[in-house]
Amino acid sequence: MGTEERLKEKIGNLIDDLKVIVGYTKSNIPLRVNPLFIEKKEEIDKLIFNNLCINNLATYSYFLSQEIDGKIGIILKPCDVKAIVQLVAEGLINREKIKIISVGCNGVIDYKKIQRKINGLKIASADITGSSIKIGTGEKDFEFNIEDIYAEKCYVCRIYDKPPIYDEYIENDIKFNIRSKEEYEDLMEFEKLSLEEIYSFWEHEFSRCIRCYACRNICPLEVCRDRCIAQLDQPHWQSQKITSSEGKFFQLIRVMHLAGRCVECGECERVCPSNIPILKLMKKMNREINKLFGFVPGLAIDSKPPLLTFKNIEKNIKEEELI
Amino acid sequence: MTKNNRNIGNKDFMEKQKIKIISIIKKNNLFLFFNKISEKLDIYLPVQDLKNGIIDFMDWRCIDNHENNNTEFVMNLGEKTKKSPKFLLFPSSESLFEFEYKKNLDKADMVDIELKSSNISDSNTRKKIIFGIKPCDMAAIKMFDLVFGTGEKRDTYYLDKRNYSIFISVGCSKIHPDCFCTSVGGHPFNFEHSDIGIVELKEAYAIVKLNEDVKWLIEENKDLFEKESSIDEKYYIELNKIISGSEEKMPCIYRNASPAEISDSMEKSFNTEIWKKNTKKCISCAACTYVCPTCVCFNICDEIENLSGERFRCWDYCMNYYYTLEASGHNPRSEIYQRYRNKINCKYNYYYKRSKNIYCVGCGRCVEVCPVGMDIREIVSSVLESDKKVPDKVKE
Amino acid sequence: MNLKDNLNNNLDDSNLYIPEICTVNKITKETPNIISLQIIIDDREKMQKFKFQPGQVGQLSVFGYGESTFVINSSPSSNDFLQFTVMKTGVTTAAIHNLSEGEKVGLRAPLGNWFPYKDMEGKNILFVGGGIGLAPLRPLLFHMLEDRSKYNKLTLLYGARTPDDICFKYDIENWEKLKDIEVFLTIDNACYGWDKEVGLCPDVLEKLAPSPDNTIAITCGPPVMIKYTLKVLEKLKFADSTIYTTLERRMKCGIGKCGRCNLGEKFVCMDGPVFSLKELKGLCESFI
Repeated sequence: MGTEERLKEKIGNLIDDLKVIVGYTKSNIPLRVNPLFIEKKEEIDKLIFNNLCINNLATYSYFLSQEIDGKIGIILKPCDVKAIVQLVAEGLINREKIKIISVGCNGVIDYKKIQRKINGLKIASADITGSSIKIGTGEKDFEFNIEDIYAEKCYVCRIYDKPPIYDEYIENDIKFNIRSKEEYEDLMEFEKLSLEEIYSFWEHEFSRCIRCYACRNICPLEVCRDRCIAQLDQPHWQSQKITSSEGKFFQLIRVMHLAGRCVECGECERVCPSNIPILKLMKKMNREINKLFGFVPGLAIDSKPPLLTFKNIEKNIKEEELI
Repeated sequence: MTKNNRNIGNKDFMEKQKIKIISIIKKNNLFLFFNKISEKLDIYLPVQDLKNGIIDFMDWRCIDNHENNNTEFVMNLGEKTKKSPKFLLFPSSESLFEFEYKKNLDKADMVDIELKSSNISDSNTRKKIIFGIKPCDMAAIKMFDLVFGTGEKRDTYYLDKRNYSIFISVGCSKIHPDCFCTSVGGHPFNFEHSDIGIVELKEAYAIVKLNEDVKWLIEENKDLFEKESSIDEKYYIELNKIISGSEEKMPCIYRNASPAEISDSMEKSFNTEIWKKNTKKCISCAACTYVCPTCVCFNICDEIENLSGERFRCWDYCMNYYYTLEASGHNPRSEIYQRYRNKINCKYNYYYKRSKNIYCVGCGRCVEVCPVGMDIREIVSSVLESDKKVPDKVKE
Repeated sequence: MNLKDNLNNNLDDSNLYIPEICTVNKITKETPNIISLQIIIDDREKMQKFKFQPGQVGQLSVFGYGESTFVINSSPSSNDFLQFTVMKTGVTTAAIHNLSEGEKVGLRAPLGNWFPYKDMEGKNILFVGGGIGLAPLRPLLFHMLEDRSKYNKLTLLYGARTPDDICFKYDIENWEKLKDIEVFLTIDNACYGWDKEVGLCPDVLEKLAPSPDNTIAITCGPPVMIKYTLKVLEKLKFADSTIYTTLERRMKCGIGKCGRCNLGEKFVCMDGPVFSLKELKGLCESFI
């Protein structure tokens, strides 16, 4: 039985004990999938699982656990499970409330990469056959090697069949076979640029920011969306103006808020309507946190996130050098 | 989505709209034209940033911009812009006025307030040409006129810019998978609201509509335009093909229901479970609102530093939790489904009741940009379906 | 900057977003968290010409803090000053509470619709107010008492949590002495020295059981109080078209442009704040 069939069978067995199960379903738009909320057995048929399932369904974990009295099931790729692990480690959700149904992953296709390669033309149809993907746009047709269009996080993934924790695990019948890249390789390339080049890069990117808060609202760890300090009158941390500098300021707030918490799922960058590469900023902060505290978020459920704990003496911070 | 089975026929439409070619400008003359008129006017058109493929309305001068080595900009009239051009008339942040607290020189314990007009940049005082705006976005500008510009209460900030803008609309030779303007009363070649209407042909642009008060643009540059009498037959043939080709591609959704029927169904389904069921995945961000050409809700804020500050308005989104949050802490729309329900009703029901227009132009931007795949077409279609009295007219 | 040359000469009267500068004339403390602010428009001519109808509101701003909506509750026939009553709940209202006499505020008024008093002529009027809800009723009461012969019986039922929370104590004292109007006061719980009615407004209303014959009922107050008062009025067989109330929604532009205060297809700033119950029940969105 294929992965999807086995997943449907498993969900069929679990649905009676769970108030809702969050999974993936087909979308009207080519190359995309939508979240699906299953409450009854009849709805299980709409469930899918394939290499288009890039969304991180852990987004819904906090709010569903607050709203629903009872257990919730979420279908998660191993990388997405890291978000749940971090939320539990921080005490934001109760581990007992979430049934983690993890499915082994063989990589997910990043539709935004394809959009960049076809220069703004709209994807009208997509056909995946073997190792290539054919894109029809109504004008020109394109063909790409699937190898080249996986999400960046897939190239550095080590946990594709080893979710940090799970309640149920479904093995993927297709083996993971993506060439691996060095972690933070793209960051190191970027850091070779001069300070002026880097600044003008971000100036150019943020000129398109419209402060839609899609990045904040999709992040599984930013559970503060209804009481965000960027939208408050008192204290007036940030202007409500929608300008490029305010957009930059808001992202910096996010970077600080997610320091040592971001699991690099890439959703923020995926959902940005203006295609601003904000994941770079999160990754940079994560790398610095790792250097300072030797901590990688989302891997151990009993870990103590360094910015939420206090140690008298930090191993990597030489206090004498700070003065 | 069913194909449009209505047998309008390209001939009928062309006759109804009285589409005839008034003039032709060859493609390689277009930028010469812009060069000449840019002495008096600012020109905005859809520009694609080749680095990331995004198309948005920008000042045409950035097409010449070779200083910034990181980017390359080209004009792109075929694709839809990512954001709508509403920001040209309704900027994302706009200062209303500035104020300053001043010590009263006569009475030592009194402080006066002085109001100042905000600094208006030169660009706001020049006439603008907005070139390449699609008929759907043009219909949205018309709706803005209804909100901001009619009745006793008029918005002068909007009207000033509006009255100084000339709209040159380009018909949609390309229909995208998420376009549905014909289902909400639009048409890919509807030029009734724009000042000038053109259609992009292979080697030239055909001008099919020209308002009296903008004739001077052509007349002052007539060496770049062909006279009506000397237009080659081949252009007519090409035009005909483009217009009829596009009509065939337009999907017909909403069961051919009239605006009144849609508004009625919305009203009837207001308190049903359909809203809670269909909005579970919505994350309540502003992406759909900010790219929408008709969404116009705004916030007014005061910001002060020491003794001076300004009052400005900026875009706001009704999907925001804070939108209706009252100082007492009570929030009439505290749940996501209530806010989404209000948003869709605002477009398909309330504005219809106020102005007999459906406040959606069928551009499909919200569908494309939504992080989780909320589809306005699906929601409105399910509402229509649940109201059994609205039959699927396409099946007849 | 020469404003006359400016294309966007946006400080003139046609600009509906520019407030009039006013001076705070007098501040009266009504209750521990409610004050009444009397203001005078600096431009004397505008102050003389200012006309408003009972029920209309104004957007009062403290520059730098924000703008908030309040009903103009002074007498519509007086041009000496305009009065607004403000409860301290948020940023703007806190800034208003911090004002002293002589300070400057901004005003955009009059906005919204008003009580259709012409349609109420010849009828009995029942006013039911709770807490600060007496503020919208006050200008209408003044108006009707001045034009007394046009109306039949006037009855006011006003409830507050405690005697300290009673607003407009000085007005109520005057009204109680008048033969023109019958005043019933009630507080939530019995307290020493209080010899009038005790109980929540809706309960006392039920007890008094006014007849719906030829009567218009107007009720204003906190949402919970309105909800139960409407239930009682329904029980007493008042028709929906004879019941009026004022609604509050977060407002920004006040002129029907920003879209925020919508209730169904109505804008509270343009089609309200005065609504009849019949109108409200015709909306798909709940107004409570």
